[in-house]
Amino acid sequence: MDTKRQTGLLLVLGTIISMVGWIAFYPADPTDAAAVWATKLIADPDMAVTGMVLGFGGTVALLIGLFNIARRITMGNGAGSSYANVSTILILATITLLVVVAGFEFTVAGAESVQAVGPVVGVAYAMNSTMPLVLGLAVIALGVGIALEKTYQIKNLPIVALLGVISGVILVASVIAENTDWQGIGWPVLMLTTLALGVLRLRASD
Amino acid sequence: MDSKMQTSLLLILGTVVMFAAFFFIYPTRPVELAREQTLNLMTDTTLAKAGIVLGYGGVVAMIVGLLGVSRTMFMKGGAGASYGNIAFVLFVALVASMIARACIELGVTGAPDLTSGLLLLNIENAMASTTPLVMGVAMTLLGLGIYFAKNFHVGVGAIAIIAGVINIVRPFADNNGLDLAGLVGFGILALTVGISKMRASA
Repeated sequence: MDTKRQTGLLLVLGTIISMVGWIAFYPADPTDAAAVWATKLIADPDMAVTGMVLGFGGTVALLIGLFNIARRITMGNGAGSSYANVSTILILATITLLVVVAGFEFTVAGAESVQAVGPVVGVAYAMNSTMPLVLGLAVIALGVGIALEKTYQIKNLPIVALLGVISGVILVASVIAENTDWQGIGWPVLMLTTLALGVLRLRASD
Repeated sequence: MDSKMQTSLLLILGTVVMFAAFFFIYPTRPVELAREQTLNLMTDTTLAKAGIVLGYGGVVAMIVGLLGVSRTMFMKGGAGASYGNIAFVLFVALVASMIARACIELGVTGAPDLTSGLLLLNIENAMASTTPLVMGVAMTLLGLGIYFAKNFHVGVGAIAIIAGVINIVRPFADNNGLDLAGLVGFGILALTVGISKMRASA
């Protein structure tokens, strides 16, 4: 499999799998309070683990796809390379955060009670709260990089780049304003961005 | 020192140091209860710190070595590049995760009381729960990359895939024997890749 096809598949399938995992299987919502969130995971551990494997797995896959795109722009040394370079590093940091948070959530799902894993719940919740900030900044930088490179355009319009910047700004704002409801808009817009990027990457001629 | 020699030394010495540290210096075992582990780490702090630094240092060296192999595969292009690429990203995440875990365990050795130490160790154990899964996926992809790129003996690719699959199963099986098999498989993979690299360098 060549890297172009791989990147496209990672973005498209990663987006779909993560959405299935988070929406259809994962028993909690991002807007839940820490104790409610942990209680929901503990109440149905099998469903929670399935949701986590699909959700975290899909999200890591789509982030590797974004990483490939950012790195490609960086290596090209074009107008957007400096922004894509920042995005590359932030995406790697986000993947690491996801790996660590997945470990916390697996432990919470396998616990007997919320009290038994109180500190783990607190740390996982704290990390979950700040992850959109890092990812948002990464996507903003990538969106700006794509716009400056004038790539991934739809009918010569930088729609995908714009979607990326919008989703990044919403995700960053949700953390700063401490309003998790905004993530209900930020995440779907980000998913739309990655899906569009994946399709465009698969259809690219180079 | 050329890059090949560096990678092979990281893999071989990392494996030796990791096993020596975790089996002979590190004062506790994963099968023990969290309270016992915390007490052991807090009792002889010098020994515990040496075990943590050498053990996790060895693991980080091994992962950095495998990261170097997967990056080379990606940079060369070819049939194994796409697999090496994903393995590379996952190994980077694992290095950061391992360093964080080592820092938390060092914090346990310096904890003021058992409750604080136990709290830190529980967080570290939680972080560790998905490490085998991510490592397993990375190793399996590295094995597939080796198989397609044919840059190592096909047996090395097979070891990577077998060790990778064992590690993927580990978090779901909760079996001590499987945990040991996963760790030993990881060590064997690092050693075989390191020795192959060293022979190629020579």
